[in-house]
Amino acid sequence: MDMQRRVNLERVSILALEDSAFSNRLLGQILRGFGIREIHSPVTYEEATTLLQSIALNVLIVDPQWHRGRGEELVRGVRRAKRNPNRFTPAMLVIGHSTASSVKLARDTGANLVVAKPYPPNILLERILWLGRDPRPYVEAGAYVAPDRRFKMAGPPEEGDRRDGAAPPADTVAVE
Amino acid sequence: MTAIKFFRPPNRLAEALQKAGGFSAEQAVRNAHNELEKLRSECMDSIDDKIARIDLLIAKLTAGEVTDENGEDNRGVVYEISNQILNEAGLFGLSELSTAARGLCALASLRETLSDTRALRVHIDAMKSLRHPDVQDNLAVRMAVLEGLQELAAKLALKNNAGSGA
Repeated sequence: MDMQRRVNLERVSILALEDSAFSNRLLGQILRGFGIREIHSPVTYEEATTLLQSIALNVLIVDPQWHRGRGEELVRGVRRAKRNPNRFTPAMLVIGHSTASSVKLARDTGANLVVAKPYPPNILLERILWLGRDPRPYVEAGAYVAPDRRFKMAGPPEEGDRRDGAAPPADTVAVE
Repeated sequence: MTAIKFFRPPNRLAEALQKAGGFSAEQAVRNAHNELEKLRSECMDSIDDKIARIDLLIAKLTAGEVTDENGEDNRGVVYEISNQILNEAGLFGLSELSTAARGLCALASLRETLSDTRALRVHIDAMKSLRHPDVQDNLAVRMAVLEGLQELAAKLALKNNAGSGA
């Protein structure tokens, strides 16, 4: 990432749903540091669905394990709801410990990116900016709605720009 | 036959990012670190609390208490809390603790730890030691702790694969 590039995230609105209240606070701190002012972190699943049906957001950052696996269900539901204003909002799933099957499940939600935790600020910023450039068309096949995985594109950069001393690599998978 | 439709909806994030002004990416990242630092002390306390909870849960599992009074799966809770430590420790540069927490998640999801909790115990003891001030300040010891855990995990994975016929 060009670190001298100017970024202005003041107008970006985000849904931030981490798997614990404290992790959510940490994510909120990072996002506020980026200059994002509108951060929504509803507590219950019902509050989250109501929010997603009523406000058009710019980014969704969701841990699939939020509310014991309902984060995944939430993103999948948004992609499938024809009248939801967030049906095509760029979505990033952040996952902690993962297995091949959990990554596959995460990919199948229709999210644009899967990012492994921990995600230091430089990685998170880069991924958010990348979501704004994601050139892939969407595909709809029955109930399945997602960025087209067959579309060949350059994914997010490799992990060479991590801060010294940061925790192990955050694997990032552009869902393709 | 299912109809397949391709389309390009407007990217609202791209539109929101068009606004002029702001600051450099470098400054944004620095600001984010500064914001995180405000929670460092609270986060360390939170991590220590979580380690203590896991310690207690493993003691219960060892005593044969698979579920708590509400029917909650104790091993599942160990997994959930370890997953949280993985992230929280990692964000503050405690990479060995984050890695150890990832290892504990893997163990908590293994069949072997249903009946034999010794590996879980070794892991949580290692995590406790990684939070000890003397160990925190000594990279060589931290790495040695991690290597020990990785060897244990490799042995268990082998045993698990053999048990599942893989």
